[in-house]
Amino acid sequence: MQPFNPLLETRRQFLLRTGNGIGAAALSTMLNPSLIGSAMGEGMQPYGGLPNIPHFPGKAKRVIYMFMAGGPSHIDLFDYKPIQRKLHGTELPDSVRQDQRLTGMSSGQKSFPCVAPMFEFGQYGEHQTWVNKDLLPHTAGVVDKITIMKSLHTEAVNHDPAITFINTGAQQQGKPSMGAWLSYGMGSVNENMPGYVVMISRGRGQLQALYDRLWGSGFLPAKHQGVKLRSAGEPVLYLKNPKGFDREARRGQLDSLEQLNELNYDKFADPEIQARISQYELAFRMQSEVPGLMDIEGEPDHVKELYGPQTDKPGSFARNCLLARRMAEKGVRYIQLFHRGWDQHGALPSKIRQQCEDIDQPAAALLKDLDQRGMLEDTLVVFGGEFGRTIYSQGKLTKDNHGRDHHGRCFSMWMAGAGVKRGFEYGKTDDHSYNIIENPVHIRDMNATILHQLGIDHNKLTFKYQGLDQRLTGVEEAHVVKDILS
Amino acid sequence: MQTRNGNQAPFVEVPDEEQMKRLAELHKQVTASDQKIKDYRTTAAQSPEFQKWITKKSEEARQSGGTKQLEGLIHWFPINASAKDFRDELTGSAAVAEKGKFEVSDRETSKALKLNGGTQFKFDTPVNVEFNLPFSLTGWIKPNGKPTGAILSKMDDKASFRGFDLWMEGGKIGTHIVNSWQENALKVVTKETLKPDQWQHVVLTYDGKHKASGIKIFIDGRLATNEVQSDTLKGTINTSQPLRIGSRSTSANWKGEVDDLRLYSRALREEELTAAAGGDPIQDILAAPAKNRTPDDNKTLLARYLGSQDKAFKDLVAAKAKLEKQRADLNRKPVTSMIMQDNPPDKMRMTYVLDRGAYDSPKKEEVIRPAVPKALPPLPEGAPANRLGLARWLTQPSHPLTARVAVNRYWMMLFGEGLVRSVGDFGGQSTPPTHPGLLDWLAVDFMESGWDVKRMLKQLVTSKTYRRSSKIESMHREKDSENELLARAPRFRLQGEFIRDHALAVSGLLNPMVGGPGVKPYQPANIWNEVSLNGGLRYKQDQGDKLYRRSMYTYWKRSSPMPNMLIFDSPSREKCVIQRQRTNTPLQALVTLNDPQFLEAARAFAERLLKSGKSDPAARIDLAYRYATARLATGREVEILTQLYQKNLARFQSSPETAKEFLKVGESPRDESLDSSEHAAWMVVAQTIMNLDESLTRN
Repeated sequence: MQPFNPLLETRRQFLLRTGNGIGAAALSTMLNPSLIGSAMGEGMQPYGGLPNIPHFPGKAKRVIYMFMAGGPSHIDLFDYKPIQRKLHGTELPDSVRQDQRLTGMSSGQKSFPCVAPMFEFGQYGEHQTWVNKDLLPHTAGVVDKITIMKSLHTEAVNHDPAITFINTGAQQQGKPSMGAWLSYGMGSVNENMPGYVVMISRGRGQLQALYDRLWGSGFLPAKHQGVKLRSAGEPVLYLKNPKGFDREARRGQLDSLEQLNELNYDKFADPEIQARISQYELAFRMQSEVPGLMDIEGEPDHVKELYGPQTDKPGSFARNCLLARRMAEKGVRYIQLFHRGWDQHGALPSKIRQQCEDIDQPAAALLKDLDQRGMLEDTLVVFGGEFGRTIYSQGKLTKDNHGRDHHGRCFSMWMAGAGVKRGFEYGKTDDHSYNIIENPVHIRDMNATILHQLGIDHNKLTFKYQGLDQRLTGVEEAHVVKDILS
Repeated sequence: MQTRNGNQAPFVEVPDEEQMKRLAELHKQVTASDQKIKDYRTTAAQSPEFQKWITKKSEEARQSGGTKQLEGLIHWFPINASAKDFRDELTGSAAVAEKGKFEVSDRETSKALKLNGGTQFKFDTPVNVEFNLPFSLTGWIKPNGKPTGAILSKMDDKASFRGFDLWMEGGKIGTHIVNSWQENALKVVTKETLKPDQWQHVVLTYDGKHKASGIKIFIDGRLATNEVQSDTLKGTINTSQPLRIGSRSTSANWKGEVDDLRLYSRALREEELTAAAGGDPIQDILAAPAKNRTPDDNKTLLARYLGSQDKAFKDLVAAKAKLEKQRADLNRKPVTSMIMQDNPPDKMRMTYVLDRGAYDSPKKEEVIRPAVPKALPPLPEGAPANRLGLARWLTQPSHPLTARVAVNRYWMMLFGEGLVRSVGDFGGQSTPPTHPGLLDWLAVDFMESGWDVKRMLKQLVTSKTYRRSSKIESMHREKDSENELLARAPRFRLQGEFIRDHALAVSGLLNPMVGGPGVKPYQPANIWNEVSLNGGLRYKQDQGDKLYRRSMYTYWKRSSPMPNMLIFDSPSREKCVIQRQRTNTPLQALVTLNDPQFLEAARAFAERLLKSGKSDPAARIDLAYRYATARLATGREVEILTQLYQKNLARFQSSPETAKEFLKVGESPRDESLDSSEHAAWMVVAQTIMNLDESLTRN
């Protein structure tokens, strides 16, 4: 007869303790198994996170990051100036270019004609900010909710290092993503949801590659990595039972499996055996709960219409935005939506139109939706890519067609919610939207600001690895952009 | 597919067992085919049909008076419309396409051979041409532009170009006659160029006196001026390389059209040139009285007979040519593996101290040379300061790290933790070894065995320590909860690759093949195009036994690795990970329950049980346990699983369609003679056993 041992908690006892939230708990424990099995009679407390975090009260409880992968042209979206109409067709002056190295893709060009956006722009909001009227009518309608930052900059020149840089804090691989840092620092939220969810949608333009490491945990424990959910097909891989074997059959099998594993436990007393029993139970529950999470059936029609016609298409950016709001409601702390296809080296006017068709209405809808529900107060929303594009044309400039090359010296992003100023513009570039003339914001400053809104001092969220107190913002100095915060 | 453009130099050829087997087979087939042809010839030579044909043709030839052909013709390549008729008319030797395809064009009333710069043919007839024997080459030539290349050759590029060729360079025509290029060779080309894209008749004669002055080249009957580029021939030009049309042995493909190529065993005289430009040399053999014919003449007639009359013979020849081409193709695509190689000494990259670390400010006066840290032993005597020297340094007996780090990692693999816990750090901030004496002993033992990894692993797994029970007693918990003293065996989940390999092994599906290119087993749809460049990269799954190789052979895309491996904590390999995490998550349960690879393994495992000769469920369950856990099932376990079996059998029997659906997973065929409900029910049992914690764990 075994003496009572708190280590020997049975599955039944565990389930009794956790009660209703088990389905959602399934998701949170997908990578965070410490929530189950190894309990020492504590009850269901928020797990993990560093003891001193948050360092101070932060306005944001969660972040939704709409990542536009490929380098969206800031000139054609937010950083237009009327004088560019006059500059259209003129050669980029050396005084503006200032000896910047050109990429291998356009260095062979004999001329670098400047291109004004081939779209109509209008001034919107209380502060009359310029927004592309043709392509971003919905975003134009919400400018009074957001801060547009036009002075972002990065040293990275090409996609892989640039996207790795902005997501993990370094151009070299191996560092944890921002979401992983947050999971590590802030732990799992009360609400039993995973700390970090990623969803990917494809645009119709040239698709640059994405990498597992962009939502990876780097040198942090694996449980902090982003959970990639797919809004088309199986949301989680291997979720469905095989044909000819239904849920009831699976239940019977798992019952037998559990009995056998319990016998094994009696012999070895290894707590991992109990943990594994629980994993199988959670897998079983996930099979029924997770599809429901990805299902928007219950959303009222007017909400689906708000996000636009693509909302009905699984796998679309619009669908992912609506799902992001649902996940935010359920307590996911960091949701990242990657939308691919912004790399317009050529055929920019037509391709960027398609990209904007994909994102304009849903992005604005998300803001409105959050605002209506009072969630914009504590949700930080970010919109932007890894770098911008050149004022000069890559390839031939014709009456209605041109391309733009990569440009990291300045680019634009916008932020909203959780203490970010409403209806504000920050940072200025020169007439060619080529150099920053006021208030530069390095991408590490941007990251520091995001952490700040969550109540984290980026200098103090560290992890000792390879002899260094590693930080998301790296070893160089980074500043919180206080001017955009109210 | 290793890289987008295949392997880049430097690389080595890797013997591919399968390829070598096929080559050996093809070789046998070619030899057999050759023998068939020889036998056919012998029979035909004695057949009455052949005699009848000679008589008839001779009569015709005599009546037409022959064409007064020249003596000394030893090889003749007129071109006919069909590839099957492309041969040396005098010896009957058929053309084998080494590269490219047979293509013809027209030249007046006859056909010509079209060479596109990538086509070449070879003939296995012996060719009696030597440096001290006269010969002549004639032919109709229409160069494509001003090409460079060999129209005809019997030459070995790799043996300093020994042999001879009919050569063009930039429109000029000439010849190389080579023992060893360039110190023992003749090379003469015409000063004049051939007219591009027009037919011209060329005659090249050589008097056999191994001097450039003995070479004469005639274009359309007119003697051309010679340009002598080499005049040093002294020795044999004999080579085992075959006669080729269109190129040399490994280079110099020529572009243009040719017709009526002839090789004579003497130097033709100027007045004979026109005769060389047309007519049918064989008519003369036929016209001459039978008793004047030499054995060679008879062979020629036989070749003509078989070539023109005999379809069966032509088919045999075509079959042999096809086999030879397959063999040549196979030989041309060796399996290669990329290697590292030092630059030649004059191209070595210099490394300099960077001024304040800036990558674009090297201090050219401060060269850095390869060296080793001062805290460790110096490079061994005489070791060069390069990778070879580094290798010698790492493996010298006095090196305190290499062997100790290595055996520590093997220890970690088998025991879960290294003797030094900080597996990637043996330095000042590392965790000291739990058993320093043992670590050092193992290290020395490893080195002295000749760095024999298999022997070390065997030694570790047959040790008492490894074979201890992993049962945790209260004494263990009190005195050594971390099991540093190894009073009990460790118990930990197997790494992902082992879990998949184990499933394949117990199911009998495992393909034990060693080496060769990686493979692509099952993967959920659309994983690659979700993240790949342009969304265009599709995962093309392999077929057959490639699906069941050990997991280390799985093709690995680092930006989107195989998900069932990632789920079991395989690192992405974008960065070196020395010690894997060991998580325990519901995603892993989903893999072993729902991944087709594991379902198929369960199906095959069940089939194994059904065909084991044991019919009693308890005996089958015992057998399954033996495979999966290396022990027999207990009475209670048999009870539980028998119940599971019976419940599922009833369920499948009541709706046989579900059984069929359930069994349909995976590409390997199922033994259809097995009752599907029974098989499906045992598949459930097999899968359950494969999902036991005990099956997934090093116990």
